[in-house]
Formats: sequence, C-alpha cells, structure tokens
Amino acid sequence: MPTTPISETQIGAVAYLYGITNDGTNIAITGLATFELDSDEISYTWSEKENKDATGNTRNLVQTNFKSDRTITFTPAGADRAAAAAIADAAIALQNLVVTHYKVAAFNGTYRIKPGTKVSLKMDDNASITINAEKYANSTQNTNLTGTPISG
Amino acid sequence: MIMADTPTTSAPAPEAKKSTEELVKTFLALKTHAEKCAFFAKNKELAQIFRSELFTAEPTK
Repeated sequence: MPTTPISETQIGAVAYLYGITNDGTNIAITGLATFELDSDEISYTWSEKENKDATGNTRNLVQTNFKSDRTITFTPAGADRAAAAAIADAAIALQNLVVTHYKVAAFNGTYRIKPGTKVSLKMDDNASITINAEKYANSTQNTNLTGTPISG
Repeated sequence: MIMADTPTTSAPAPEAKKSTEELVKTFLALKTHAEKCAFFAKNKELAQIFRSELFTAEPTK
C-alpha cells in the first residue's frame, strides 16, 4: 500500500545520497506487506586471525566469513490498525529478510535474521521494529545458511 | 508509504519468486494458528521465510 513517493530536491555542485532510496519500484520485504522505513545500516565485516612470529608481532592475517551485518528499523503500517498489528506479528515470525528494490544494491538480497528481533510498543508514539540480520558475501554459503531448516 | 526517489536503471534481480509471494499472502491471511500450522506443513518453502518453531503443531499425545 505504498503511496506516491515524493523525492527531495537538491541544488548545488554535487549530489548526496539522501534518505532510503529505491530503484524506481517500492522497496519490498517478503512477508511484510506495508511498513515505513526509519533507518537501515550495513556494516561489512569478517573474522580475522592474527598469526604472530617468535617476537610476538603479527606477520600474517587470515580473514574468513566475509559478511554484511545489518540493522533495519521500521514502523509497522497498514490500511487499518489490525493490518498494522499483523505486520508486527509477521516481523517476529520472519526467518529471513528477503529484500528487493533498494537503490544501494548491497541492501538487496536474502539476509539471515539474527537473534533479537525487537518490537517496541509505545504509549504515545508509533511502534517500531528492529531486526538484526546478516548476509554472507559468498553466495553459496549465504544460500546454505538461509535455506529451509534441516528436519529430522 | 515508503520513501523513494526518481527511477533509475539499476534494477536488482528479485530473489523471491512470485509463487512464494502468493503463498506468503495466503499464509498471513489465515485466521487461526492451527490453520497456519497446517498450511505451513504443506508448503515447505514457507520455512525459508517464517520460523518453523512458531508454526509447527504440537504433537498429539
């Protein structure tokens, strides 16, 4: 139920990346019909092992598990209050964050949701939902870790 | 409702299939937890979107 987007105007010698922008189609997250994005951050990270020589100085670095760590915060929204509440329930139940149509392509793709999805209800403000997720740089690794849980 | 700016040519390939989207819509429209559990059990691809432990029916004693 997205409304017509209103784009900002920029005047000057350079343009800045402003706001959370899409690629011309509204941003979508599978399982969440409607929402209003508040913030979205990606931190590219990896594991690192320092191998030291006899003097205790690092002479080699082994880097593994390259991935993007993500924190997304949004407000559940809907055509009516019941629909908005349903978005909050659906957010808690999500296994993966399947995201499309960000202009910054790194934000698109299938992210594994990490522990700690938070739904915040407030007496005098809109609810907000924060989800922590990660996407591995190696596509095979990411596919394996975002697949259907093993049964049996 | 969602922020956007002027369209560009960059168009990432959507990873979610349309059929999955339809399944998700049908699943979320179900009213009772029992109905959701039954639907979840029949459509294994939903386990990639929603958490299995929340939609697995308790075993009959």
